[in-house]
Amino acid sequence: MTETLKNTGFEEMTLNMGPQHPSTHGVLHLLLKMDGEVITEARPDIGYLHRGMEKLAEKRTWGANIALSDRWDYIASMSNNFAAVLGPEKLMNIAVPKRAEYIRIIMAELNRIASHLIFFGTYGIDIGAFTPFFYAFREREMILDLYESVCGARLTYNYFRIGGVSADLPEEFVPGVKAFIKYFRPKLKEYDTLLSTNPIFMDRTVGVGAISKEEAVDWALSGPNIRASGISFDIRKEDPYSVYSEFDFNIPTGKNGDCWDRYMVRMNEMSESARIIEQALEKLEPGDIMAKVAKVIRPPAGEIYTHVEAPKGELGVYCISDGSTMPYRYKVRGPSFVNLAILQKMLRGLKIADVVAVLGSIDIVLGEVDR
Amino acid sequence: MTDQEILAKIAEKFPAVVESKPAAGTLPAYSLTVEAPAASIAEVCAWLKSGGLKFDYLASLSGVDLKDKLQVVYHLYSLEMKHKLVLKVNLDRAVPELPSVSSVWQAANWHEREAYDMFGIKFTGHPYLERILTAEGFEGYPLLKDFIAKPDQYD
Amino acid sequence: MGLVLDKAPYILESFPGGSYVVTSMDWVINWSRKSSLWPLSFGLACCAIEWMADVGSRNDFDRFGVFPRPTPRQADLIFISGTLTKKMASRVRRLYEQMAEPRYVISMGSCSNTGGPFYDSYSVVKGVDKVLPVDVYIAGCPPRPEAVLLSILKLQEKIMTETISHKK
Repeated sequence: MTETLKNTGFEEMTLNMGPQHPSTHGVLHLLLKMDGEVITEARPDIGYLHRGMEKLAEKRTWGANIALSDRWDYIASMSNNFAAVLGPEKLMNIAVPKRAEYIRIIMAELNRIASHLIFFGTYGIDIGAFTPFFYAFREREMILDLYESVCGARLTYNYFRIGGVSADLPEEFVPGVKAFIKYFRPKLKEYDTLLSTNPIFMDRTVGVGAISKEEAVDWALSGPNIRASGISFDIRKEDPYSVYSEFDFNIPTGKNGDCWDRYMVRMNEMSESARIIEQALEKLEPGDIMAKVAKVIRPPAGEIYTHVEAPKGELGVYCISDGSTMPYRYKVRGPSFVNLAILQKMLRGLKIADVVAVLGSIDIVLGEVDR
Repeated sequence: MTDQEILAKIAEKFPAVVESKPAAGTLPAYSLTVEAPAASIAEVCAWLKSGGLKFDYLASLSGVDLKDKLQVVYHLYSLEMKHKLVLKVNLDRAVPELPSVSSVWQAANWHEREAYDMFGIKFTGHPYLERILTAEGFEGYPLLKDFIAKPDQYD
Repeated sequence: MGLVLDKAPYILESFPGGSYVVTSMDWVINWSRKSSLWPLSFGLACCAIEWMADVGSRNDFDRFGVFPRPTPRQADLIFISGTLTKKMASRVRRLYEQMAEPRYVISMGSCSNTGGPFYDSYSVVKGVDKVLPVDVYIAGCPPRPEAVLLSILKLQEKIMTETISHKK
């Protein structure tokens, strides 16, 4: 109990936020202890979407696990697919055809844009602006249309295969992506005028919930959250997987690590993703999309930790094979799970109204937090 | 720094930490893997972070059930020196206990709670070792290989 | 309103020809209910994103009078959009109980219909109908936004068959 509380005779209040709350992005439960409006202790209570994925993974074949991976971070399923196939491919030493590699990168980067668009829209709602949501979903639907033309699904794609991708691109896809990028670039400026430099928005986000460099590393943040604190940590550069080393792109970073920096890093990442997509489209040449891999694979016994740069951060999969058709252990290191942990530290001392701004800026997906 | 140099440095400081050799018939390890005794894991980790090797980033902490024993696997990374290390600790299945490293890396806090929730591994010295993912009153540790789910009114 | 709806049909139906009045009242009441279905803005998992796409600009289910409300006390429709876990089940039940009657439930997607891809998980409820009475089920993993729109139309059809009459 703080000094003011003792003197005034007021009591500390415990406030439950969630699991049903419009701004908790799903079913997160926050237990807040408050001294007036100031938070003295915050405890995130998770597990409301715990589906036992890691246990289920041990009962599914390696290939079937790609379908489960769609549902970890369900707004960036292509990135999850990417993480799910890398492990078995390395264990079995499969060389993926060039065309498939480029297709994968186009898909993953389009997904990064789609994921950040959802962040942009919902963060606007969190702060109190509803319009960005409609703008973001307008563009996101275009990406989903492109996905639909390739794999038939809007959200859970199950598109990657161990050794390649499941289907070749339809004719209209490449012109479609080119048209989308051309349409999308000016939209980024529109978003900036709409929200990024909006005075109300900046008042709510600049200087709020700052994370220092040391804290970011200590809590093992990843993705835009660590980059906003000024650390240029990106798996695509740090430990390049697939053919990312061939591309020329920048890693946007922030300075102060506050909510606004985290927001801006994501906005800038979208244009970098667009750059990568353009380069990949140029390199795309006709060819095979699948290596010769059996339908049911039996990777040799061994273990590997593979990670990809998902829109939320480092998505790692630690798989252990015992030589059978199913993984022996399939640990998913969800970036949202790790990023969310810092909330208990960040919220202490903030006002209750900032909770939503801070939580939104971390950009979590509960499917990946709870798995 | 090459794997051999890292290994030599660790062996110099902690002779009990040895390179972990994959079992016969399994693939060679992809990155440097060492094994440490459970009792001294907190000191080893504290030194790995602040010593010359600067493993400041705990990428992942996983529990593994190897049927005859439990294992905790730490995936470490150094943001500054760009090297990786996989650290393994073997635990007795009957008394799975080891010191917590959440004071070394804050990130270990939730990872350890998850490992406790899923495997029943007790991390001594953890600030708040409670179940994290499963529902209130859940019995058993789901990721153990001998776990059998009890059907309830929701099944 | 509640008292009128409770007693009026009973009194009316005791007169000859009163049933005609009741059926006309039925039509008016049902029409107004079906045209302003306010769902709880509540999402569980993946399906919630498709549900958001429905709120979004392209599908816009405001056209059907469907307008998300953030609190259960103002809502008369709840979408169970995603996997219902055992930890969440009692909370969803509580949300449902907080809603004012008449209240409707739409089970969206395979997970909330039957458990879906997690049918063999230790922590997933195998169908939301173990916890709540469901009015409309939507198939799909996740269902397309169009399917969600269809579920609204189906629910509207169902609402039109309701009556305040005591002679059910």
